[in-house]
Amino acid sequence: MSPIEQLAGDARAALKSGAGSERRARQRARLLAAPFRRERGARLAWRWAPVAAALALACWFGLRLPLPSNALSVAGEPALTSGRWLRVPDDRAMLLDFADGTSIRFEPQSASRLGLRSPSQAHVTLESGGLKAAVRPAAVTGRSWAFDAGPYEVLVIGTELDITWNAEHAGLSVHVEHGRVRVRGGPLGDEGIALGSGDRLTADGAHLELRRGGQLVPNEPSAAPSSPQAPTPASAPAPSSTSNAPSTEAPRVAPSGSSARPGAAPAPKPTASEPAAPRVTWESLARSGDYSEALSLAEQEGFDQLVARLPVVQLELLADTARLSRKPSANRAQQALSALRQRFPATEPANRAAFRLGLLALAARDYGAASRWFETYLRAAPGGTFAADASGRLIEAKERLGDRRGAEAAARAYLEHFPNGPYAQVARGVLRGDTLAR
Amino acid sequence: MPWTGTDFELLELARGGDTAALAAAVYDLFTGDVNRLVWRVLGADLEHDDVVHQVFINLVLGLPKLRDPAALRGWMASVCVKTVRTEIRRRRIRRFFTGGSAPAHQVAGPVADHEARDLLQKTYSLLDTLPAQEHIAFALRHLDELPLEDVAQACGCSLATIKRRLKKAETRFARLAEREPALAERLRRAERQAGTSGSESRDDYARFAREERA
Repeated sequence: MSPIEQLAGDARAALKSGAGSERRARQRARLLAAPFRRERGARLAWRWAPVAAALALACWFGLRLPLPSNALSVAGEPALTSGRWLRVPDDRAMLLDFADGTSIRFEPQSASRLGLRSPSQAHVTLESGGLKAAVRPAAVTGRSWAFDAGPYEVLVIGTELDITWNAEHAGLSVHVEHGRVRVRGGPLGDEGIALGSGDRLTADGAHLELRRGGQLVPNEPSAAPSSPQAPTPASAPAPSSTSNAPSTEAPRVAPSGSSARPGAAPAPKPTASEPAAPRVTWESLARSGDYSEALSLAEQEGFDQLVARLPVVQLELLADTARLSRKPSANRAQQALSALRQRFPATEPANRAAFRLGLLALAARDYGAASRWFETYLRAAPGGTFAADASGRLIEAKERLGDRRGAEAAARAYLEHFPNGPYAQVARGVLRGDTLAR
Repeated sequence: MPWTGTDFELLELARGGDTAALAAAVYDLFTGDVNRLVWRVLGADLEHDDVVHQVFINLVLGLPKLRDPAALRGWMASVCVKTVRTEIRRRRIRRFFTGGSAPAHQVAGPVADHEARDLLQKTYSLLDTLPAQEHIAFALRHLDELPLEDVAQACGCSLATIKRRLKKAETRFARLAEREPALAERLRRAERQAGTSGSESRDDYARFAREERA
């Protein structure tokens, strides 16, 4: 066997089998739902390939526009139930379909978190970027949807809408294609404002602008508060909040504590002391997924001081920032995680910190430390989110440390608790006497 | 219910025009082969499912034109290879236009072992830099362990051509692997185990370099 063949053999063994049964079921369902005619049309479109290539070249040389690409399809329901954080690739959108028939398309480069507030309440936190959602009415599906963007919350009654959020400038844009939504929070107050088909609400820092059917609605919600009982103008009677009003109507619900009602007295302009846009901080950058910039800003701000004074949530975020930066700083991550465990002992974040310290040690090939951290995590949170992962990595750490008996014990424990887990094969291999590739 | 008919009946079904039934039958019949081939050629790729989907679309659309049931398996492999080749080239073009260099190969899915993950990332990153034809030939032969005849059939070329292509791919792979410390170390270890000095592959490399210069 030649060296190349042996190397390829190692790679083949590492690659293991491909898609499992669940994944194949998804592939099959997707294939059966495929519009074959359109695909055939797409093949014919290759005849236009030279023209397309010329256009693409023009774009590249002249406008430097990125090429469009197909959306990445991700199973929505598991992401929702597990509360996943999604970072959309730079060059393609991400499409999620949910069990209730709702689908959401996240634009390239956007970041968001999905989750369930209750079994009947789904919510998406848009940290940055844009999304386009087609939400099936809660009355039909029994599940309501809410979208958070900075201080705003968009409650969906059943609609198709676009939302974009720029965390740096506190810029929100909500465009309702059809259906109804309510936007609240920030300068709109708790009551918020209802939007109908064709309405577009734009918020840029403290400045709000509402367009109904493409026309700017005068005296629409501004940032400065005014009387919540502002009168409704005769020229634009406000319908009841439950009616499905056409888009040219005035806002149906005015924000409480704000001048959002149409025809209300002109609101006083924001004072000079009011900030036009929130300051960019390491935290806002980290929350938008730009860990590299966030880390460099945190260093400028004084990493040591931050570690000493930040509350637990931010401290955990700071550690993630150091870990996930484009140039990860293991020392900084270790410093933040150790401080977290020291300052907030016996808390859930402290347990998670133990697991992450184990990961860092494993990456640094300090297998003894990695074993200790994974054991610490498993003792503190035997049923924790990372229990399966920590158990599996403990096998690896013990085996690489040369602690054969420890590795076997860890493998037995793993198989007992997670017989079908991702490390099950590794565990069985260790019990058979295999060694991991060095 | 999985497809239980013969290859002849499958072609009959394709000519019948019931696309949904055909798609289900084709998927059930070839899911193992297609998934394995794409997995081996592109690795544990983030877009694995998209590529598999495209292969099946091409299979369903192309099947009505196939006449010989005996050629079904070979035809399936060739469609698979063509689709994957298109995908590799599409990525290369995309990288060219977006101005990026080849990104580090991302391993999707649970690969438990750090070393294994590292090996996969480096191996497939390196394969990504080979010409598409060589990438595929190398992967089919060494990662999917297909016999040379089957590799030639899937790639739609003669046995002699595939041997030449494979030799080029191996030489280029070995040369590039030398620049990657982890892979180079593995190769040296394999050489020691095999009791060879590696002179054969170095000779190949020297010959290949001469050919390239010429």
